[in-house]
Amino acid sequence: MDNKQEDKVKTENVYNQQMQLLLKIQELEFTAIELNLYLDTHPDDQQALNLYNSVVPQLRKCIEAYEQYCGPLFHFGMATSQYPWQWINSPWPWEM
Amino acid sequence: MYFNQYRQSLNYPPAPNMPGIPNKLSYPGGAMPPLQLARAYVPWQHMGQVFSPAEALAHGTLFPELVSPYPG
Repeated sequence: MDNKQEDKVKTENVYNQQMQLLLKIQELEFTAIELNLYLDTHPDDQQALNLYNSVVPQLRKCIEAYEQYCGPLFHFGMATSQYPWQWINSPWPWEM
Repeated sequence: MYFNQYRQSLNYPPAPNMPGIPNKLSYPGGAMPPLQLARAYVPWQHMGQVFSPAEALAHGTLFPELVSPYPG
């Protein structure tokens, strides 16, 4: 494998890891909002509350990791921006 | 027959007038069938087993009892 090919494989691996992390964030975010809505009508459900309380820190960890290594997910998110301004670099939802 | 006359005949209190909706019931057969107001029921949900986050996103719900794919 020559250097060019190696670089290409490396880039693809990084991209795949980024997509994996983004998918994980979508999954955890969806689970969190489902539990959020359920708890709105079932505020005394201890099991649902426990699950919600375990999902939210996992989600936050994934978001922090993504923003640190891949770029911003939110305006004024968990990480500051490298130079140049990173906002337009992240894949948009329809590019996943 | 007017709607509220019909309600009165069933000992129901008169319905409030709704703007834009005529309060006269037109029924071509003449005789009025017994009418009831619509009633909605929503059973209470109890959380049991739930999907993993990946399964939940794929199914569009965290709750297996709420999975209802559109056929076709």
